[in-house]
Amino acid sequence: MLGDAAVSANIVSPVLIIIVAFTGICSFSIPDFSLSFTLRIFKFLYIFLGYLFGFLGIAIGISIQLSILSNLHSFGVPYLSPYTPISNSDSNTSFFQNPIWKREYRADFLNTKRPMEAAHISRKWKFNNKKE
Amino acid sequence: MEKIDRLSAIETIGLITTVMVNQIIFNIPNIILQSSGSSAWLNIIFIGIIAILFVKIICQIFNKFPNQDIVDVAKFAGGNTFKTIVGIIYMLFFLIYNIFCISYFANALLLIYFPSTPVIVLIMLFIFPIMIMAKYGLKSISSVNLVFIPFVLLSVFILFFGSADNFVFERLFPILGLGIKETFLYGLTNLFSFLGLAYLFFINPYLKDSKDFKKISYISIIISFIYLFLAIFCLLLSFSFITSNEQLFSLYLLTRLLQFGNFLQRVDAIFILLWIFNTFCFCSFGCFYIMQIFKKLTNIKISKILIYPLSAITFCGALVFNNIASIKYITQFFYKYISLPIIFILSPIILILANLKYKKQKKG
Repeated sequence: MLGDAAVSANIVSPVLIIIVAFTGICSFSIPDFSLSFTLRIFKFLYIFLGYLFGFLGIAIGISIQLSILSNLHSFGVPYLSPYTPISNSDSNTSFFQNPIWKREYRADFLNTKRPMEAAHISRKWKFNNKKE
Repeated sequence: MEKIDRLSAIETIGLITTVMVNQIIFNIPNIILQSSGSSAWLNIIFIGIIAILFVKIICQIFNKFPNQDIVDVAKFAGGNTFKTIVGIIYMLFFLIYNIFCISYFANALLLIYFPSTPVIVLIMLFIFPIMIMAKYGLKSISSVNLVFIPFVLLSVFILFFGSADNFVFERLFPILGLGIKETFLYGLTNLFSFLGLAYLFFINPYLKDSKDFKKISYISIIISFIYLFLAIFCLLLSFSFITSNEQLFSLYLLTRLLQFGNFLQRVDAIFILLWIFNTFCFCSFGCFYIMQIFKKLTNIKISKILIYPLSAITFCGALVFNNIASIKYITQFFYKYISLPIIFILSPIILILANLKYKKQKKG
């Protein structure tokens, strides 16, 4: 109702209402309650950057924030993994995953001593049948 | 001592593709259309094949020098003096290219979106994130790039296929454009559109597995060839090649044709936003290379502090140009008469000399 009234009164454009609604719905997907405080602060920062320099400001903000995030490590594991640095697809943790019988390795960002998680050929019956 | 960041094959392909795609965004299709006319697409296929053959030769020679870049190879071929000369040439090349990119993009944004903003502010806004990204190192640049590059590639694809409604196939005629000579002989100078190869010469020491060099080179050159071909093809079919010659951003011209119903208006802003990310990654990659070459030439231990004077030089350099027309003219000169000899003449000569010396040493 409020949105309708604001659009009818020509205070805001319909696109803005949709974007605000979309942002509101997306904010429910934040898994941790305390994380929403941090995100709120960043939201203000991006609004300020957008106000000052438009989309160029937002691009600057995202680039700087991403470069800081990509440098962060938590217990030796990159903060943005498995997306970047991209993880091996034959592990259980990668962004795009192989079929379950091909996931024989541990995630490479964990730097484990033994890289293999399972035996090399998981579906031995298939290969045994071929030999026969 | 600084820790050397090692990149996986995907990260490296992402970085080299960024360099190549950035060139497409920066009006290279425009220059090619200007020189070849309606046969530009044939010209691209021709120079694409030559570039792939060139990469094949480079890979074969670089095979003998694993974990070494072209400056190291130059040292092996001609000693310290030769190494210094080659290092300075490449440093200036990357610096000038960065300056052109920043200046061009800032001036283009000034014309398109920020008519009342002083260009000095826009250039400063470009320098700031580039400086920070380059300071964090190659791993950070590649990580950020890996986040953006799928969207950038997707955006360019959407652009090509979204403008399909405006295609007029008669625009491909005459097939040989301005003539056979212009397409295949003088058109050879359009090889500068694979200028991103210069970035390949320095990637070797940063690879996790130096055997990946061949794979990375081929994949990145093929991706860039496909994108360049699509860009030229779409521009040629959508506009008369004379129209697209006059534009500042030839791809921007295509974005203005896109329409996704009445809801999304000025879609071009989304594309420009993605291209800005791409420019940030590309320029910070160039800055990183400059710092590393300088480190190699002077034997300093920490290269990160170099980012401050480098940013200052880039900033001052970007301010030199009065308007976008002058940048456009100088960029064209730089592409055809400076970058082309450096990449396609100087670098192979260095590699061949080193190869001969290597064979001689092996025999001895």
